[in-house]
Amino acid sequence: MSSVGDVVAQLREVVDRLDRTVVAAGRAQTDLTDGHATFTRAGQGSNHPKIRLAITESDTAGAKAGRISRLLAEAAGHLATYINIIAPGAAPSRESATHSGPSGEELVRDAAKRASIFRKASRATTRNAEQVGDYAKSFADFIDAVRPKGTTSQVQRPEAPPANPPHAPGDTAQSLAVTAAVLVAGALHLFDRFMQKRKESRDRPESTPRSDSSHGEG
Amino acid sequence: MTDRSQHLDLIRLMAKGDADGYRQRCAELDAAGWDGFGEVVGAAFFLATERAFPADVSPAEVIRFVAETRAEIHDTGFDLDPKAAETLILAAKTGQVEELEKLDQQTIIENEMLLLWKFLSNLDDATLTNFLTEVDALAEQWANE
Repeated sequence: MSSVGDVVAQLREVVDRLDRTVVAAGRAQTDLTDGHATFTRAGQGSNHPKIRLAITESDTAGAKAGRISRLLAEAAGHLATYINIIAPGAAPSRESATHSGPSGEELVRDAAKRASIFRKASRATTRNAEQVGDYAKSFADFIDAVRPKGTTSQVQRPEAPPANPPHAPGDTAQSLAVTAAVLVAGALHLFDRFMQKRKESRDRPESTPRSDSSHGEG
Repeated sequence: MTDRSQHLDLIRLMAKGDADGYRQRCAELDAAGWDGFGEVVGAAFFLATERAFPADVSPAEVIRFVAETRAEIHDTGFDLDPKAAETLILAAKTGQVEELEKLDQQTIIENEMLLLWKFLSNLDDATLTNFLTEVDALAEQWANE
């Protein structure tokens, strides 16, 4: 049987995951807003229905991603409040349950943390200079081979990966909604289990004496 | 602050496909020394990956990207190690570095430079300049960590 501590630990994990999803939703909103601006610029002077549709839908998707982010932040806040009711001080205090999404600082912190981890794991600062230099020099042959001389401006360049997510806006919003639904469903399941066990543990002391008295009667 | 202008210029020449300029800069670096270039390549790779893929990029998307890059460079005499290339990208995006820690330095630098070419070769001059400014800042931060 789970103790209150186990339940609190699991609920805190759910809050952490909700917070991480809030960050992802915030990024999606930023990308979608950028995408909307791009579509709007590209569509200037055009009344083609497909362009107008792209502008409208990217705007809607950005708004929905923002709403998802806000709702997830609210859900995380409510869960944290609940944790502090059943185990005071167990969840870190939150500035506001209606926090509208990750701040720029949160996004920067997340990237900086990954950058630092990557730096260490890829041994970026301790690479053998001579070895790196040797490969860098040989790389000139690659540049020659991949872009033959005299055709620099005519060569069809490969498409670089898009700065925005390759997902369709709907995919991102949908996957976030699914993630949120799974997290909330998991949290509700934990609540149910916890409340059921609390009820069982409350009921048990009352039933035991009755059982003892029946023995006594027999 | 360390002067990384030569290192950053080498990456710019690579991105622009200027092989002659690249060779000339390499000769200058042979004289000046290559210390710190590996760090600049690492910082450039991390930021380019950050820029190119969404936060929730899937392994399937990364596999597809690496496969497409290999197809583009198949007749150059150079090739990506697909497993290493995928590992590098996913490690940068997720912070999960267990597989990355198993790669040797030579494999890392080779795959980072080939992927960097792919990431940067389509950038316009202004975007490339801004990108290299960010690389300089990150490399400086790493040097001070």
